[in-house]
Amino acid sequence: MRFLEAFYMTVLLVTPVVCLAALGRKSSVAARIWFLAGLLQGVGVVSFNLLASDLRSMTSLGWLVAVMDFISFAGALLHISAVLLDLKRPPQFAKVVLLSLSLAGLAFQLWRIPGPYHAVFMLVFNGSFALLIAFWLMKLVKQEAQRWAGYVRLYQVLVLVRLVVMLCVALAPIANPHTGPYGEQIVVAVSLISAVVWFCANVAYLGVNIDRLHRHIVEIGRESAKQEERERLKDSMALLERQRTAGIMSSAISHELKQPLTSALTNAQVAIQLVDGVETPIRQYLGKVEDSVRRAARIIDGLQTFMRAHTAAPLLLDVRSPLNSALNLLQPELRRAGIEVRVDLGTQPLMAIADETQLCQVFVNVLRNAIQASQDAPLKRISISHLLVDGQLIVEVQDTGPGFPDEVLKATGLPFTTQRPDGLGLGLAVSQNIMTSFGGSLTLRNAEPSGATVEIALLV
Amino acid sequence: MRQVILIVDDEVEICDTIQSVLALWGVESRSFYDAESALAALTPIHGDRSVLRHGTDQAASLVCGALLDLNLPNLSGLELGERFHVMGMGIPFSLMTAAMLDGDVEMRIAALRAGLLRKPFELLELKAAVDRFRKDLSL
Repeated sequence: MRFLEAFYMTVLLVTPVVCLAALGRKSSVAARIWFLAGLLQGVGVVSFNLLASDLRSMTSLGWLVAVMDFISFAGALLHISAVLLDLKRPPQFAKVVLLSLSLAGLAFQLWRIPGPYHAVFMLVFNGSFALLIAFWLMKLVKQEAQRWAGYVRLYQVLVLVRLVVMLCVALAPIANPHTGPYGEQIVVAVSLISAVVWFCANVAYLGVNIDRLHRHIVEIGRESAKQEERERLKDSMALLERQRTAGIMSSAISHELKQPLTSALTNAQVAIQLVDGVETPIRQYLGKVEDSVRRAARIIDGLQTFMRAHTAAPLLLDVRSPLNSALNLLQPELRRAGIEVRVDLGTQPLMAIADETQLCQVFVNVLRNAIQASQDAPLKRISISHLLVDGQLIVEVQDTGPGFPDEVLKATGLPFTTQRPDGLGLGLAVSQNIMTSFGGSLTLRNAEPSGATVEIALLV
Repeated sequence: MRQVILIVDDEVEICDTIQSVLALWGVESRSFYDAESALAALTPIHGDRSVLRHGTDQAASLVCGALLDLNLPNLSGLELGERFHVMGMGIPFSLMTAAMLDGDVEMRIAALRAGLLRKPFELLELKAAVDRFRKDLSL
């Protein structure tokens, strides 16, 4: 019996402490109230058991019983308050104080009642409180975490069983004053039931709180991910806006640059005509000016083709034309990176269905990726070739870089997937959309032993 | 009657360059920097021709052609060319542009049987345009 009493008291003391520790600093105010109330009751029961056997005076024992009764009431009251707080129905402070004072008064009056009657009163009060706690706890479980309902039901049943058993025991001496107050087996059974009762209540309440904490952490994680996504999109939008503005500006600048270029070319050509037939090195220098102006004009043409707003429907065109525009546009980057470009597209027109401007944009995006991938490679080369397969013209752009990482290969077509820290991850996604609009496709693969290949497939 | 080619471009540098080239070729030209002032200086005469009065004596020169910038302020070069056509001024013209053209603009240019010089154009293209004006006049 001693062992079971010790077990019961240990459960009462240890369970709230363990639960509080499990929730840690993340525990809510309500959870703290709940478990501290449990601890208070545990301390009360343990203290009573330890002190009661040593007290000789009945008066002292009476006072001890009164204090124990009050602790019991206060604990129950705190438990109910905690659950109500969780249910967002916090009891009014004034009500709690008033009820506590009433219960304290009641507790100190109860000890005057003779033993058997006192036991019945206490059982009725404690049983009612326990049922009230069970009622609100069930509401909380139904509202927050249904999976803990089993523990609350067990708690309810056991509270009723305990109440009935103890009432029977307590009522027996009233019916027959010669009967002893408790049978030892009954005390054992009640202790066991009480231990289980409190264990169930605490587990259910802890479960609700852990579930809530888990949801809270998941919510924080989700919110944090959303916030990061929002930040990333904001940055991307700002970058896109800057690029759009840069595009508008470059369009205007291209137009304006052509004016002085026109004068420069005309004047250079007139000057060449003027020195025609005259032995002078000036002619050679003027020729260089003429070539430079033409090259500048080609670059601007490429830029204008790239920036041109798309309105036309795809039509049959020579794919070499937008490719040349793209190569002209990227000539400065290619030269700066020291990359050799090998174009093997033959001498015959390569006719396919596309929009010239948009196909130029696809070539620029693909070639720019290839330039960035190849610029640090030992062999800096971009090879452009073609083949005709099943009614499709496939233009292959192969670089000598490290190849596409797996995540880019898997996420082709998804925006914001990039291998470059300064990249936006839009180039290939935009290109793939454009290709799809022509009825074509854009496929990425890695070449053996190294390098990346982009296949641009067009309907012929 | 003296013959003159109109140059209408809001870029003064372009006007000056073309004018000096035409002068080198012995072709008289007159520059305007917007379409409205060019139109105001023209007077249609019988036989679907137009003359340009200029100088202190307001001497009249027969306009044999016009080089019009496409992107002029207010009235564009294309609209000015369409006015020539509608008003029966009989002025052949070529449009000059530094912009990329939309399909419908190219169709309107073709419908007016006008020439197109994409800036920066080659001297030979300019020569061909001027020769076409002279040829049209001789017909």
